[in-house]
Amino acid sequence: MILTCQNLSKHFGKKRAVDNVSFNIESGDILGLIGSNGAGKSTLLKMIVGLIWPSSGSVRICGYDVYQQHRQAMTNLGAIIEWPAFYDELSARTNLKILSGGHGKKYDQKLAQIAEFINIKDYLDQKVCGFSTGMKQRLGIALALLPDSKFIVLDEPTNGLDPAGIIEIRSIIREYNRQFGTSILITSHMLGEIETICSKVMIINNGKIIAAGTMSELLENETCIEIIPDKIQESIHLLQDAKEKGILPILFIGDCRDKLQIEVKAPCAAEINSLLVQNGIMVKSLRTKHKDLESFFMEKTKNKAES
Amino acid sequence: MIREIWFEIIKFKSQKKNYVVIVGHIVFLALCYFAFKTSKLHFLDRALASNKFDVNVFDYVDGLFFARAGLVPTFLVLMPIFICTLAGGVIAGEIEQGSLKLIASRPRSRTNIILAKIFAIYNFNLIFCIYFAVASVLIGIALYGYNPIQLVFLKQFNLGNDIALMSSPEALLRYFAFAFYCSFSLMALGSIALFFSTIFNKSTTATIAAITIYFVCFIVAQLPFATEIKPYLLSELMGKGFGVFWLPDIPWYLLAKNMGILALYICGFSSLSICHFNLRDIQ
Repeated sequence: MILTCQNLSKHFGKKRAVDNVSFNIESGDILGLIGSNGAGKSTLLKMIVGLIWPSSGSVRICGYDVYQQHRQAMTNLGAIIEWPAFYDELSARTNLKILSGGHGKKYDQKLAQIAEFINIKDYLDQKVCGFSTGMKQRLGIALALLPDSKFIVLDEPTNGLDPAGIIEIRSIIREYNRQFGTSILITSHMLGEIETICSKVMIINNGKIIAAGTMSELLENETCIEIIPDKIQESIHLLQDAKEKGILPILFIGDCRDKLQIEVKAPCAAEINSLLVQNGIMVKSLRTKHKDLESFFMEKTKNKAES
Repeated sequence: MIREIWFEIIKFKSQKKNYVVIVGHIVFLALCYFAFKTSKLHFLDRALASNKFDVNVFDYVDGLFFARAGLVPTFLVLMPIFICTLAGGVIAGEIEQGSLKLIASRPRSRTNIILAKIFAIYNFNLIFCIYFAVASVLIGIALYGYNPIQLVFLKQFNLGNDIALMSSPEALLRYFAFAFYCSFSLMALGSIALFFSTIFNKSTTATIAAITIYFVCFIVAQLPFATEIKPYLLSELMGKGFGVFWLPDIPWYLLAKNMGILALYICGFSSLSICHFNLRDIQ
Protein backbone atom coordinates (compact mmCIF):
# COMPACT_ATOMS: atom_id res chain seq x y z
CA MET A 1 0.00 0.00 0.00
CA ILE A 2 1.47 3.35 -1.01
CA LEU A 3 -0.80 5.58 1.06
CA THR A 4 -2.90 4.65 4.06
CA CYS A 5 -5.10 7.23 5.76
CA GLN A 6 -6.86 6.01 8.87
CA ASN A 7 -9.64 7.85 10.68
CA LEU A 8 -8.17 11.18 9.67
CA SER A 9 -9.90 14.20 11.18
CA LYS A 10 -9.11 17.88 11.40
CA HIS A 11 -11.06 20.43 13.36
CA PHE A 12 -10.54 24.17 13.12
CA GLY A 13 -12.30 25.30 16.27
CA LYS A 14 -15.82 23.93 15.97
CA LYS A 15 -15.57 23.42 12.22
CA ARG A 16 -14.80 19.88 11.09
CA ALA A 17 -12.79 20.35 7.91
CA VAL A 18 -12.07 16.64 7.56
CA ASP A 19 -14.17 14.13 9.42
CA ASN A 20 -12.95 10.59 10.06
CA VAL A 21 -11.62 9.89 6.59
CA SER A 22 -10.05 6.51 5.78
CA PHE A 23 -8.77 5.37 2.41
CA ASN A 24 -5.84 3.67 0.71
CA ILE A 25 -3.93 4.14 -2.51
CA GLU A 26 -2.31 1.11 -4.06
CA SER A 27 0.82 1.01 -6.15
CA GLY A 28 0.23 2.34 -9.67
CA ASP A 29 -3.18 3.88 -8.91
CA ILE A 30 -4.19 7.33 -10.07
CA LEU A 31 -6.80 8.53 -7.59
CA GLY A 32 -8.85 11.61 -8.33
CA LEU A 33 -10.09 13.54 -5.32
CA ILE A 34 -13.03 15.75 -6.09
CA GLY A 35 -15.19 18.01 -4.03
CA SER A 36 -16.68 21.48 -4.05
CA ASN A 37 -14.85 24.50 -2.61
CA GLY A 38 -14.50 24.13 1.14
CA ALA A 39 -15.27 20.40 1.02
CA GLY A 40 -11.98 19.56 2.75
CA LYS A 41 -9.80 18.56 -0.22
CA SER A 42 -6.89 20.91 0.47
CA THR A 43 -6.93 20.19 4.21
CA LEU A 44 -6.84 16.46 3.46
CA LEU A 45 -3.95 16.89 1.03
CA LYS A 46 -2.05 19.10 3.46
CA MET A 47 -2.43 16.45 6.16
CA ILE A 48 -1.13 13.81 3.74
CA VAL A 49 2.01 15.85 2.96
CA GLY A 50 2.58 16.78 6.61
CA LEU A 51 1.79 20.48 6.41
CA ILE A 52 -1.20 20.29 8.75
CA TRP A 53 -1.34 18.30 11.97
CA PRO A 54 -4.41 16.08 12.13
CA SER A 55 -6.71 16.34 15.15
CA SER A 56 -6.85 12.55 15.10
CA GLY A 57 -5.93 9.64 12.87
CA SER A 58 -2.81 8.71 10.97
CA VAL A 59 -1.27 8.94 7.50
CA ARG A 60 1.32 6.46 6.28
CA ILE A 61 3.27 6.75 3.05
CA CYS A 62 5.00 3.51 2.01
CA GLY A 63 4.53 2.30 5.59
CA TYR A 64 6.12 5.38 7.21
CA ASP A 65 4.06 7.59 9.46
CA VAL A 66 4.05 11.13 8.05
CA TYR A 67 4.27 12.72 11.51
CA GLN A 68 6.45 10.25 13.42
CA GLN A 69 8.78 9.33 10.53
CA HIS A 70 8.47 12.53 8.50
CA ARG A 71 11.81 12.30 6.70
CA GLN A 72 11.38 8.67 5.54
CA ALA A 73 7.76 9.27 4.52
CA MET A 74 8.58 12.44 2.57
CA THR A 75 11.45 10.71 0.74
CA ASN A 76 8.78 8.70 -1.06
CA LEU A 77 6.59 11.69 -1.85
CA GLY A 78 6.58 14.42 -4.47
CA ALA A 79 3.92 17.07 -4.02
CA ILE A 80 2.54 20.27 -5.41
CA ILE A 81 -0.05 21.78 -3.10
CA GLU A 82 -2.19 24.57 -4.49
CA TRP A 83 -0.36 27.02 -6.70
CA PRO A 84 3.36 26.20 -7.12
CA ALA A 85 5.22 29.27 -5.85
CA PHE A 86 8.78 29.86 -6.96
CA TYR A 87 11.50 32.40 -6.27
CA ASP A 88 10.98 34.73 -9.21
CA GLU A 89 14.46 36.19 -9.30
CA LEU A 90 16.16 32.80 -9.48
CA SER A 91 16.51 30.48 -12.46
CA ALA A 92 14.30 27.42 -12.88
CA ARG A 93 17.34 25.21 -12.19
CA THR A 94 18.18 26.97 -8.91
CA ASN A 95 14.51 26.90 -7.87
CA LEU A 96 14.32 23.16 -8.43
CA LYS A 97 17.56 22.66 -6.54
CA ILE A 98 16.50 24.75 -3.55
CA LEU A 99 12.96 23.43 -3.32
CA SER A 100 13.76 19.78 -3.90
CA GLY A 101 16.94 19.86 -1.81
CA GLY A 102 18.55 17.74 -4.50
CA HIS A 103 22.28 17.53 -5.23
CA GLY A 104 24.94 15.30 -6.72
CA LYS A 105 25.36 13.39 -9.95
CA LYS A 106 22.23 11.28 -9.51
CA TYR A 107 20.13 14.42 -9.04
CA ASP A 108 21.61 16.04 -12.16
CA GLN A 109 20.81 12.93 -14.20
CA LYS A 110 17.26 12.81 -12.89
CA LEU A 111 16.81 16.53 -13.58
CA ALA A 112 17.99 16.09 -17.17
CA GLN A 113 15.57 13.16 -17.57
CA ILE A 114 12.59 15.04 -16.11
CA ALA A 115 13.41 18.24 -18.02
CA GLU A 116 13.41 16.23 -21.23
CA PHE A 117 10.24 14.40 -20.24
CA ILE A 118 8.19 17.53 -19.58
CA ASN A 119 9.91 19.70 -22.12
CA ILE A 120 11.48 22.40 -19.96
CA LYS A 121 15.09 21.64 -20.89
CA ASP A 122 15.59 24.90 -22.78
CA TYR A 123 14.15 27.01 -19.97
CA LEU A 124 16.14 25.66 -17.03
CA ASP A 125 18.59 28.55 -16.90
CA GLN A 126 16.00 31.29 -17.35
CA LYS A 127 14.60 33.34 -14.48
CA VAL A 128 11.18 32.17 -13.33
CA CYS A 129 9.77 35.73 -13.35
CA GLY A 130 9.60 35.54 -17.14
CA PHE A 131 7.68 32.25 -17.19
CA SER A 132 4.09 31.90 -18.38
CA THR A 133 1.45 30.25 -16.15
CA GLY A 134 1.82 27.04 -18.13
CA MET A 135 5.59 27.01 -17.72
CA LYS A 136 5.25 27.56 -13.96
CA GLN A 137 2.80 24.67 -13.73
CA ARG A 138 5.17 22.51 -15.72
CA LEU A 139 8.02 23.50 -13.43
CA GLY A 140 5.81 22.58 -10.46
CA ILE A 141 5.20 19.16 -11.95
CA ALA A 142 8.94 18.78 -12.55
CA LEU A 143 9.47 19.54 -8.88
CA ALA A 144 6.96 16.87 -7.87
CA LEU A 145 8.55 14.32 -10.19
CA LEU A 146 12.17 15.14 -9.32
CA PRO A 147 12.59 13.06 -6.19
CA ASP A 148 12.50 9.33 -6.85
CA SER A 149 9.00 9.31 -5.41
CA LYS A 150 6.72 6.35 -5.35
CA PHE A 151 3.78 8.63 -4.73
CA ILE A 152 2.91 12.03 -6.14
CA VAL A 153 0.29 14.51 -4.96
CA LEU A 154 -0.86 17.05 -7.52
CA ASP A 155 -3.34 19.68 -6.40
CA GLU A 156 -5.11 21.14 -9.42
CA PRO A 157 -2.16 20.72 -11.78
CA THR A 158 -3.98 22.18 -14.79
CA ASN A 159 -5.19 25.28 -12.99
CA GLY A 160 -4.79 28.38 -15.13
CA LEU A 161 -3.70 26.50 -18.24
CA ASP A 162 -5.03 26.92 -21.76
CA PRO A 163 -6.65 23.87 -23.47
CA ALA A 164 -3.39 22.87 -25.16
CA GLY A 165 -1.57 23.09 -21.83
CA ILE A 166 -4.24 21.00 -20.12
CA ILE A 167 -3.93 18.26 -22.73
CA GLU A 168 -0.14 18.33 -22.45
CA ILE A 169 -0.08 18.15 -18.65
CA ARG A 170 -2.70 15.40 -18.71
CA SER A 171 -0.61 13.31 -21.07
CA ILE A 172 2.54 13.93 -18.97
CA ILE A 173 0.77 12.63 -15.87
CA ARG A 174 -0.60 9.54 -17.62
CA GLU A 175 2.68 8.81 -19.35
CA TYR A 176 4.67 9.18 -16.12
CA ASN A 177 2.31 6.80 -14.34
CA ARG A 178 2.51 4.33 -17.20
CA GLN A 179 6.31 4.43 -17.52
CA PHE A 180 7.31 4.47 -13.86
CA GLY A 181 4.27 2.96 -12.14
CA THR A 182 4.13 5.91 -9.74
CA SER A 183 0.93 6.29 -7.72
CA ILE A 184 -0.72 9.68 -8.10
CA LEU A 185 -3.30 11.54 -6.04
CA ILE A 186 -4.76 14.35 -8.07
CA THR A 187 -7.42 16.97 -7.40
CA SER A 188 -9.19 19.09 -9.95
CA HIS A 189 -12.40 20.99 -10.41
CA MET A 190 -12.46 19.81 -14.01
CA LEU A 191 -14.32 16.54 -13.67
CA GLY A 192 -13.79 15.58 -17.30
CA GLU A 193 -10.09 15.72 -16.64
CA ILE A 194 -10.38 13.43 -13.60
CA GLU A 195 -12.50 11.03 -15.63
CA THR A 196 -9.85 10.89 -18.34
CA ILE A 197 -6.78 10.57 -16.13
CA CYS A 198 -7.81 8.64 -13.04
CA SER A 199 -8.41 4.97 -12.44
CA LYS A 200 -10.13 5.63 -9.12
CA VAL A 201 -12.23 8.49 -7.78
CA MET A 202 -13.09 9.71 -4.33
CA ILE A 203 -15.70 12.38 -3.63
CA ILE A 204 -15.42 14.46 -0.51
CA ASN A 205 -18.20 16.65 0.81
CA ASN A 206 -18.32 18.53 4.11
CA GLY A 207 -15.15 16.74 5.17
CA LYS A 208 -16.54 13.25 4.62
CA ILE A 209 -16.01 10.77 1.82
CA ILE A 210 -19.35 10.20 0.18
CA ALA A 211 -18.27 7.96 -2.69
CA ALA A 212 -15.13 6.09 -3.60
CA GLY A 213 -14.14 3.39 -6.03
CA THR A 214 -12.89 2.69 -9.51
CA MET A 215 -14.44 4.71 -12.29
CA SER A 216 -16.29 1.63 -13.58
CA GLU A 217 -17.58 0.69 -10.12
CA LEU A 218 -19.00 4.15 -9.62
CA LEU A 219 -20.31 4.97 -13.05
CA GLU A 220 -21.16 1.65 -14.74
CA ASN A 221 -23.37 0.49 -11.91
CA GLU A 222 -25.65 3.35 -12.58
CA THR A 223 -26.44 3.12 -16.26
CA CYS A 224 -29.03 4.73 -18.42
CA ILE A 225 -30.59 2.75 -21.30
CA GLU A 226 -32.20 4.62 -24.15
CA ILE A 227 -34.76 2.67 -26.25
CA ILE A 228 -36.91 3.55 -29.22
CA PRO A 229 -39.74 0.94 -29.34
CA ASP A 230 -42.60 0.94 -31.86
CA LYS A 231 -45.26 0.77 -29.10
CA ILE A 232 -44.27 3.17 -26.40
CA GLN A 233 -47.18 2.81 -23.92
CA GLU A 234 -47.10 -1.00 -24.02
CA SER A 235 -43.36 -0.92 -23.43
CA ILE A 236 -43.80 1.31 -20.37
CA HIS A 237 -46.43 -1.06 -18.89
CA LEU A 238 -44.22 -4.09 -19.46
CA LEU A 239 -41.12 -2.49 -17.94
CA GLN A 240 -43.08 -1.05 -15.01
CA ASP A 241 -44.45 -4.51 -14.32
CA ALA A 242 -40.94 -6.04 -14.48
CA LYS A 243 -39.66 -3.34 -12.11
CA GLU A 244 -42.43 -3.93 -9.55
CA LYS A 245 -41.98 -7.67 -9.64
CA GLY A 246 -38.23 -7.24 -9.26
CA ILE A 247 -37.50 -9.13 -12.47
CA LEU A 248 -35.30 -6.31 -13.78
CA PRO A 249 -33.06 -3.91 -11.73
CA ILE A 250 -34.85 -0.81 -13.00
CA LEU A 251 -34.68 2.40 -11.01
CA PHE A 252 -36.64 4.82 -13.13
CA ILE A 253 -38.55 4.86 -16.43
CA GLY A 254 -38.98 8.11 -18.28
CA ASP A 255 -40.50 8.78 -21.70
CA CYS A 256 -39.61 11.54 -24.02
CA ARG A 257 -41.63 11.62 -27.27
CA ASP A 258 -40.80 8.30 -28.98
CA LYS A 259 -37.91 7.47 -26.64
CA LEU A 260 -37.72 5.66 -23.30
CA GLN A 261 -34.99 6.48 -20.82
CA ILE A 262 -34.48 3.78 -18.25
CA GLU A 263 -32.13 4.15 -15.30
CA VAL A 264 -30.88 0.81 -14.04
CA LYS A 265 -28.91 -0.35 -11.01
CA ALA A 266 -26.98 -3.05 -12.92
CA PRO A 267 -26.30 -3.77 -16.59
CA CYS A 268 -29.49 -5.40 -18.07
CA ALA A 269 -29.82 -4.09 -21.64
CA ALA A 270 -30.05 -7.59 -23.13
CA GLU A 271 -32.82 -8.65 -20.68
CA ILE A 272 -34.88 -5.54 -21.45
CA ASN A 273 -34.47 -6.12 -25.17
CA SER A 274 -35.61 -9.76 -24.98
CA LEU A 275 -38.57 -8.89 -22.69
CA LEU A 276 -39.86 -6.37 -25.23
CA VAL A 277 -39.24 -8.58 -28.26
CA GLN A 278 -40.89 -11.63 -26.61
CA ASN A 279 -44.00 -9.48 -26.05
CA GLY A 280 -44.20 -8.50 -29.71
CA ILE A 281 -42.65 -5.06 -29.44
CA MET A 282 -40.13 -4.12 -32.06
CA VAL A 283 -37.04 -2.36 -30.69
CA LYS A 284 -35.90 0.17 -33.30
CA SER A 285 -32.89 1.34 -31.30
CA LEU A 286 -31.21 0.48 -27.99
CA ARG A 287 -28.30 2.42 -26.56
CA THR A 288 -26.51 2.07 -23.24
CA LYS A 289 -25.24 5.32 -21.76
CA HIS A 290 -22.99 5.42 -18.70
CA LYS A 291 -23.47 8.26 -16.35
CA ASP A 292 -20.58 10.74 -16.55
CA LEU A 293 -18.60 11.85 -13.54
CA GLU A 294 -20.13 15.29 -13.63
CA SER A 295 -23.70 14.12 -13.24
CA PHE A 296 -22.62 11.48 -10.72
CA PHE A 297 -20.83 14.14 -8.65
CA MET A 298 -23.75 16.56 -8.84
CA GLU A 299 -26.19 13.86 -7.81
CA LYS A 300 -24.06 12.69 -4.89
CA THR A 301 -23.32 16.14 -3.50
CA LYS A 302 -26.94 17.23 -4.01
CA ASN A 303 -28.24 14.15 -2.21
CA LYS A 304 -25.90 14.82 0.69
CA ALA A 305 -26.90 18.46 0.86
CA GLU A 306 -30.58 17.50 0.91
CA SER A 307 -30.11 14.83 3.60
CA MET B 1 22.79 21.61 6.87
CA ILE B 2 25.54 23.65 5.15
CA ARG B 3 23.76 23.18 1.83
CA GLU B 4 20.48 24.34 3.39
CA ILE B 5 22.19 27.45 4.79
CA TRP B 6 23.69 28.14 1.38
CA PHE B 7 20.24 27.84 -0.24
CA GLU B 8 18.87 30.36 2.25
CA ILE B 9 21.69 32.78 1.46
CA ILE B 10 20.97 32.40 -2.27
CA LYS B 11 17.35 33.32 -1.53
CA PHE B 12 18.40 36.38 0.49
CA LYS B 13 20.76 37.41 -2.27
CA SER B 14 17.97 37.28 -4.83
CA GLN B 15 15.64 39.55 -2.84
CA LYS B 16 16.02 43.15 -3.96
CA LYS B 17 14.46 44.51 -0.74
CA ASN B 18 17.57 43.38 1.14
CA TYR B 19 19.70 45.87 -0.75
CA VAL B 20 17.58 48.87 0.16
CA VAL B 21 19.60 49.20 3.35
CA ILE B 22 22.79 49.69 1.29
CA VAL B 23 21.14 52.58 -0.50
CA GLY B 24 20.04 53.88 2.91
CA HIS B 25 23.62 53.67 4.18
CA ILE B 26 25.05 55.49 1.16
CA VAL B 27 22.43 58.24 1.48
CA PHE B 28 23.24 58.46 5.19
CA LEU B 29 26.99 58.80 4.54
CA ALA B 30 26.35 61.38 1.83
CA LEU B 31 24.16 63.43 4.19
CA CYS B 32 26.81 63.11 6.94
CA TYR B 33 29.42 64.36 4.50
CA PHE B 34 27.34 67.39 3.52
CA ALA B 35 26.49 68.03 7.17
CA PHE B 36 30.21 67.96 8.05
CA LYS B 37 30.97 70.25 5.18
CA THR B 38 28.20 72.80 5.70
CA SER B 39 28.66 73.00 9.48
CA LYS B 40 32.40 73.40 8.92
CA LEU B 41 32.76 71.16 11.95
CA HIS B 42 31.38 73.88 14.25
CA PHE B 43 30.16 71.21 16.60
CA LEU B 44 33.79 70.67 17.53
CA ASP B 45 34.18 74.37 18.45
CA ARG B 46 32.48 73.72 21.72
CA ALA B 47 35.09 71.13 22.56
CA LEU B 48 37.79 73.63 21.79
CA ALA B 49 36.05 76.50 23.56
CA SER B 50 35.66 74.51 26.74
CA ASN B 51 39.46 74.46 26.79
CA LYS B 52 39.14 71.11 28.41
CA PHE B 53 41.38 69.30 26.00
CA ASP B 54 44.95 70.27 25.35
CA VAL B 55 44.75 69.00 21.77
CA ASN B 56 43.47 70.64 18.61
CA VAL B 57 40.56 68.35 17.76
CA PHE B 58 40.45 69.60 14.16
CA ASP B 59 43.78 67.89 13.54
CA TYR B 60 42.22 64.53 14.22
CA VAL B 61 39.30 64.71 11.85
CA ASP B 62 40.02 61.96 9.31
CA GLY B 63 38.35 59.02 7.58
CA LEU B 64 38.11 56.85 10.66
CA PHE B 65 36.67 59.76 12.66
CA PHE B 66 34.02 60.19 9.96
CA ALA B 67 33.30 56.43 9.96
CA ARG B 68 32.91 56.40 13.75
CA ALA B 69 30.53 59.33 13.62
CA GLY B 70 28.19 57.31 11.41
CA LEU B 71 28.59 54.07 13.29
CA VAL B 72 26.08 54.43 16.10
CA PRO B 73 23.14 55.59 13.92
CA THR B 74 23.94 52.90 11.36
CA PHE B 75 24.09 50.08 13.84
CA LEU B 76 21.38 51.30 16.20
CA VAL B 77 18.77 52.39 13.64
CA LEU B 78 19.51 51.28 10.09
CA MET B 79 20.72 47.75 10.84
CA PRO B 80 17.92 46.90 13.35
CA ILE B 81 15.36 47.82 10.69
CA PHE B 82 17.25 45.70 8.18
CA ILE B 83 17.52 42.68 10.45
CA CYS B 84 13.83 42.89 11.38
CA THR B 85 12.90 42.98 7.69
CA LEU B 86 15.22 40.10 6.89
CA ALA B 87 14.27 37.80 9.77
CA GLY B 88 10.62 38.85 9.78
CA GLY B 89 10.28 37.63 6.22
CA VAL B 90 11.97 34.25 6.42
CA ILE B 91 8.94 32.22 7.42
CA ALA B 92 6.02 34.64 7.06
CA GLY B 93 7.35 35.80 3.69
CA GLU B 94 7.54 32.25 2.42
CA ILE B 95 4.04 31.54 3.74
CA GLU B 96 2.79 34.63 1.88
CA GLN B 97 4.58 33.58 -1.27
CA GLY B 98 3.51 29.93 -0.96
CA SER B 99 6.99 28.44 -1.24
CA LEU B 100 7.01 27.17 2.35
CA LYS B 101 4.50 24.47 1.38
CA LEU B 102 6.96 23.16 -1.18
CA ILE B 103 9.89 23.30 1.24
CA ALA B 104 8.05 21.69 4.15
CA SER B 105 6.72 18.82 2.05
CA ARG B 106 10.25 17.62 1.33
CA PRO B 107 12.24 15.25 3.55
CA ARG B 108 13.53 17.93 5.91
CA SER B 109 12.55 18.42 9.51
CA ARG B 110 11.01 21.75 10.44
CA THR B 111 13.73 22.19 13.07
CA ASN B 112 16.34 21.97 10.31
CA ILE B 113 14.45 24.49 8.21
CA ILE B 114 14.49 27.00 11.07
CA LEU B 115 18.12 26.31 12.03
CA ALA B 116 19.24 26.81 8.43
CA LYS B 117 17.37 30.11 8.39
CA ILE B 118 18.89 31.25 11.69
CA PHE B 119 22.45 30.56 10.49
CA ALA B 120 21.73 32.16 7.13
CA ILE B 121 20.35 35.29 8.85
CA TYR B 122 23.47 35.48 10.99
CA ASN B 123 25.77 35.07 7.99
CA PHE B 124 23.95 37.66 5.94
CA ASN B 125 23.81 40.03 8.89
CA LEU B 126 27.55 39.58 9.52
CA ILE B 127 28.32 40.23 5.86
CA PHE B 128 26.28 43.45 5.98
CA CYS B 129 27.88 44.58 9.25
CA ILE B 130 31.36 44.06 7.80
CA TYR B 131 30.30 45.76 4.59
CA PHE B 132 28.99 48.81 6.44
CA ALA B 133 32.09 49.02 8.60
CA VAL B 134 34.48 48.69 5.65
CA ALA B 135 32.45 50.96 3.36
CA SER B 136 32.26 53.69 6.03
CA VAL B 137 36.02 53.57 6.60
CA LEU B 138 36.90 53.53 2.91
CA ILE B 139 34.52 56.34 2.04
CA GLY B 140 35.74 58.27 5.09
CA ILE B 141 39.41 57.84 4.11
CA ALA B 142 38.60 58.83 0.52
CA LEU B 143 36.93 62.02 1.76
CA TYR B 144 39.07 62.98 4.77
CA GLY B 145 42.32 61.04 4.52
CA TYR B 146 44.03 59.00 7.21
CA ASN B 147 45.59 60.09 10.51
CA PRO B 148 47.93 57.78 12.48
CA ILE B 149 46.49 58.99 15.79
CA GLN B 150 42.80 58.80 16.59
CA LEU B 151 40.81 61.01 18.89
CA VAL B 152 37.64 59.47 20.24
CA PHE B 153 34.94 61.58 21.90
CA LEU B 154 33.61 59.25 24.55
CA LYS B 155 30.48 61.36 24.91
CA GLN B 156 29.34 60.01 21.57
CA PHE B 157 29.20 56.58 23.17
CA ASN B 158 27.64 57.76 26.44
CA LEU B 159 30.92 57.26 28.27
CA GLY B 160 31.31 60.74 29.82
CA ASN B 161 32.76 63.98 28.51
CA ASP B 162 36.32 62.82 28.12
CA ILE B 163 38.32 61.96 25.04
CA ALA B 164 40.61 59.04 24.29
CA LEU B 165 43.68 59.07 22.11
CA MET B 166 44.85 55.89 20.50
CA SER B 167 46.85 54.73 17.53
CA SER B 168 44.91 54.21 14.31
CA PRO B 169 45.55 50.41 14.08
CA GLU B 170 44.21 50.03 17.64
CA ALA B 171 41.20 52.21 16.83
CA LEU B 172 40.61 50.21 13.68
CA LEU B 173 40.79 46.94 15.61
CA ARG B 174 38.28 48.25 18.15
CA TYR B 175 36.11 49.54 15.34
CA PHE B 176 35.87 46.08 13.73
CA ALA B 177 35.44 44.35 17.09
CA PHE B 178 32.55 46.77 17.50
CA ALA B 179 31.09 45.64 14.13
CA PHE B 180 31.31 41.97 15.17
CA TYR B 181 29.65 42.72 18.50
CA CYS B 182 27.00 44.57 16.58
CA SER B 183 26.31 41.60 14.30
CA PHE B 184 25.94 39.39 17.38
CA SER B 185 23.66 41.81 19.21
CA LEU B 186 21.55 42.31 16.09
CA MET B 187 21.02 38.56 16.00
CA ALA B 188 19.12 38.86 19.30
CA LEU B 189 16.71 41.20 17.55
CA GLY B 190 16.77 38.89 14.52
CA SER B 191 15.66 35.93 16.63
CA ILE B 192 12.74 37.97 17.99
CA ALA B 193 11.75 38.86 14.42
CA LEU B 194 12.09 35.19 13.44
CA PHE B 195 9.79 34.19 16.27
CA PHE B 196 7.18 36.68 15.05
CA SER B 197 7.72 35.36 11.57
CA THR B 198 6.62 31.90 12.72
CA ILE B 199 3.51 33.39 14.35
CA PHE B 200 2.22 35.72 11.64
CA ASN B 201 1.37 34.91 8.05
CA LYS B 202 2.50 38.28 6.74
CA SER B 203 6.11 39.41 6.72
CA THR B 204 5.21 43.08 7.26
CA THR B 205 3.33 42.20 10.46
CA ALA B 206 6.28 40.19 11.77
CA THR B 207 8.73 42.98 10.87
CA ILE B 208 6.62 45.70 12.46
CA ALA B 209 6.12 43.60 15.61
CA ALA B 210 9.90 43.13 16.00
CA ILE B 211 10.68 46.80 15.34
CA THR B 212 8.01 47.77 17.85
CA ILE B 213 9.60 45.54 20.51
CA TYR B 214 12.98 47.15 19.81
CA PHE B 215 11.69 50.70 20.11
CA VAL B 216 9.59 49.85 23.16
CA CYS B 217 12.82 48.66 24.84
CA PHE B 218 14.44 51.91 23.75
CA ILE B 219 11.66 54.00 25.29
CA VAL B 220 11.47 51.96 28.50
CA ALA B 221 15.24 52.36 28.95
CA GLN B 222 14.72 56.16 29.11
CA LEU B 223 12.20 55.94 31.95
CA PRO B 224 13.62 57.04 35.32
CA PHE B 225 12.00 54.13 37.20
CA ALA B 226 13.35 51.46 34.84
CA THR B 227 16.83 51.36 36.36
CA GLU B 228 16.57 47.75 37.55
CA ILE B 229 15.46 46.26 34.25
CA LYS B 230 17.46 48.64 32.06
CA PRO B 231 20.65 46.50 31.85
CA TYR B 232 18.61 43.60 30.49
CA LEU B 233 16.72 45.50 27.81
CA LEU B 234 17.68 44.64 24.27
CA SER B 235 18.27 48.20 23.07
CA GLU B 236 20.41 48.89 26.11
CA LEU B 237 22.52 45.75 25.62
CA MET B 238 23.12 46.77 22.03
CA GLY B 239 23.90 50.42 22.82
CA LYS B 240 26.02 49.82 25.93
CA GLY B 241 28.07 47.20 24.18
CA PHE B 242 29.00 49.70 21.54
CA GLY B 243 30.45 52.10 24.05
CA VAL B 244 32.72 49.82 26.04
CA PHE B 245 34.95 49.15 23.06
CA TRP B 246 36.24 52.74 23.23
CA LEU B 247 37.29 52.82 26.88
CA PRO B 248 41.08 52.84 27.36
CA ASP B 249 40.73 49.55 29.27
CA ILE B 250 37.95 47.42 27.83
CA PRO B 251 35.80 45.99 30.69
CA TRP B 252 35.80 42.41 29.47
CA TYR B 253 33.60 41.20 32.30
CA LEU B 254 30.84 43.64 31.35
CA LEU B 255 31.22 42.75 27.70
CA ALA B 256 31.01 39.02 28.44
CA LYS B 257 27.95 39.63 30.63
CA ASN B 258 26.24 41.60 27.87
CA MET B 259 27.03 38.94 25.32
CA GLY B 260 25.78 36.25 27.68
CA ILE B 261 22.43 38.02 28.05
CA LEU B 262 22.25 38.53 24.28
CA ALA B 263 23.01 34.81 23.81
CA LEU B 264 20.10 34.04 26.13
CA TYR B 265 17.85 36.23 23.96
CA ILE B 266 19.08 34.43 20.83
CA CYS B 267 18.71 30.92 22.27
CA GLY B 268 15.39 31.68 23.95
CA PHE B 269 13.66 33.18 20.93
CA SER B 270 15.22 30.70 18.50
CA SER B 271 13.93 27.82 20.65
CA LEU B 272 10.49 29.42 20.78
CA SER B 273 10.58 29.79 16.99
CA ILE B 274 11.50 26.13 16.55
CA CYS B 275 8.77 24.96 18.95
CA HIS B 276 6.09 27.16 17.42
CA PHE B 277 7.07 26.30 13.85
CA ASN B 278 7.00 22.59 14.64
CA LEU B 279 3.54 22.83 16.12
CA ARG B 280 1.86 25.16 13.65
CA ASP B 281 -0.15 24.20 10.58
CA ILE B 282 1.16 25.49 7.28
CA GLN B 283 -1.93 26.68 5.45
